[in-house]
Amino acid sequence: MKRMVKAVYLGTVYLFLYLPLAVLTIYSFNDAKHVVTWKGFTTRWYVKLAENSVLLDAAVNSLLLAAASATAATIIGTLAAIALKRYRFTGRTILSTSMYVVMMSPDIVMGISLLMLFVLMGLPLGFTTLFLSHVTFCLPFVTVTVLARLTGLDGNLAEAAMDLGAREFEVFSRIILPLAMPGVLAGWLLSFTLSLDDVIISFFVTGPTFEILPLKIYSMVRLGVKPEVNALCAVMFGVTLAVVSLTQLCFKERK
Amino acid sequence: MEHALPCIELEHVSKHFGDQSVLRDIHLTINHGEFLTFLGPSGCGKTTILRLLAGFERPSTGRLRIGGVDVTDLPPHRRAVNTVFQNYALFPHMTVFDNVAFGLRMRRTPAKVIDAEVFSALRMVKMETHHARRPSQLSGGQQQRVAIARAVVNKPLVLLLDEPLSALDYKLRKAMQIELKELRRTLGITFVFVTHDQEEAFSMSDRVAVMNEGVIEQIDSPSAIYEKPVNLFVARFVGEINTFEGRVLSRNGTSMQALVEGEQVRLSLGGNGNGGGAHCPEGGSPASCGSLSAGSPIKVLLRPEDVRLERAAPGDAGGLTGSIVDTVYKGMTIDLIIEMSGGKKILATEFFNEDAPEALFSVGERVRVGWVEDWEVVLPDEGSQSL
Repeated sequence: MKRMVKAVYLGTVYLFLYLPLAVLTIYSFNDAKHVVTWKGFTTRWYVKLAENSVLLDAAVNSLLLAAASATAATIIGTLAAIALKRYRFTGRTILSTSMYVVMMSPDIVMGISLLMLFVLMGLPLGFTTLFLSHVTFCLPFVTVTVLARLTGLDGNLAEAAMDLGAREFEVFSRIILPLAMPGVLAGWLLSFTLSLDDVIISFFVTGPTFEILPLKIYSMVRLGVKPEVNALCAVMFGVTLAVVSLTQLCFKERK
Repeated sequence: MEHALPCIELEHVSKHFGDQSVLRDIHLTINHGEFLTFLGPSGCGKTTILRLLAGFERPSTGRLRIGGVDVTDLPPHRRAVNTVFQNYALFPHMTVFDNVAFGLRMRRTPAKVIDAEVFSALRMVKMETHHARRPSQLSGGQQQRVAIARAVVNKPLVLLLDEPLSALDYKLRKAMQIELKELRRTLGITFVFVTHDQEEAFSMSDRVAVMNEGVIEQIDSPSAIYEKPVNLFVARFVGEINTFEGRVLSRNGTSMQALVEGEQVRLSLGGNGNGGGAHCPEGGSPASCGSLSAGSPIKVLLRPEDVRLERAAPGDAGGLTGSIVDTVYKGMTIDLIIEMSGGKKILATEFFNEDAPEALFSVGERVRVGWVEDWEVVLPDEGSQSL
């Protein structure tokens, strides 16, 4: 009986989480112009997707932007986390609090304020403004993730390294960074994902020269959901699944 | 240690954290090859001294010298000391070999030399077969050994040990104490040890510094600390001790008459025998020697094993008497709890006498309480003296 309840409960949870994704994936193989009814199996939407250079360009742009901003945010955020953990300096509390402020502030506020800033600075809207914005909102997530990892470590490790003759840089490169690595990687993945599916902030700071996928899809869907978009979403879900499984596998082996 | 050379010198070192004073004017010399232990309750400043020596903290005032070099302003990596941490602090992402090799690599030692040195250090702590393991695959005792090897492989002038045995179980701790002593003999370097366990301090050290609230209360050989404590704190911190209140009646030369627990007794002032008497600390407060004049309040301290008991005859009068209220079997010894005539309870430890089992006391018996002359410790009553 208890096992039954457990199974039903778990089943419901999974249903809620994955039913929409399953429907989307199934309908990406639907041989009909409109999504509501099932007209038989086809892969033509995938073929059409592969031919749609505008959509693919946007996808490549998005991946490029996500990789670049995640990398930049990870470098800055990791250094910030180490500084917050290891040193006592003026403005330390303000820095750590402001991380949470950026994390908590609504996207719409961030988007408008960034737009105003870029306009005032006279920066042309495009890749640069998108990149700077994405680094800004990803950065606190990296810092928090790395900080959590560092807090879980034995506080004496850095002192032990210093005691054995390590200088400040060697303490960083040989002890702190390798030990923080799982947090750093998790922070990068988190940033990559956040950047990849951000709509609101990007909507304000994007320019005509650099189109990114979420905004492209958003503008396409306003004229009705095309099966091509279904196919694209299914592909993206597949990629996500692969990446998550891969990282899980990697971390499992590390332990 | 005839021509003992100073290895570590602390000159009027004090340390505050904010407005909290952790160390107050510590003045101390530790000799080359000495095994010195800082003993004290938690928060007494003993770990802070170690951190000052390692270079993790800077003194608020005063100077530090190690091997004749003023290291007060030197960072940890430029000091000829190495530390064994309480929780070992082994690098979890490195193998045992890499952990031990870390210090040598930091000093750009050639790889061939590193190999030989690391294995010889690991052999010394009997861990050479575990060189490829990760710290997480080792037991607490094995991690301890690796931590020691990692420190001594650098051939420091001084090895600092911060309660390194406190996480081990009783048997392993005993074994490691003996091994540490052996290691000190092999290496011939100075050991500075920190612990709150007096048994551990006594069993290993040449000298013990008993600390309390940022000051060194007494620094002496273990036997002197135990037998001639300079004040009540030291007396009570190391081992069990019975305390009697009294008052000096008269003094003559090496002895005095005093009223203790309402009875007149003779107390020794000599301190030249096996034990205490009123101990006069060198250069310390003259209170226990000079100021014990007629009328001053005193405390008489007696270790349980120094108490001598005799059966009291029914008509006996005078002297300290009491009755046995409980006996505690300890295996090799037996603890007797005695209620004195005045109501005070004291502890006496007796060894079994196999030849005369009838000599053991039983609950309810009246006894006369005495001690081997000169083994008592007489201190001025600190409650009425400014320390």
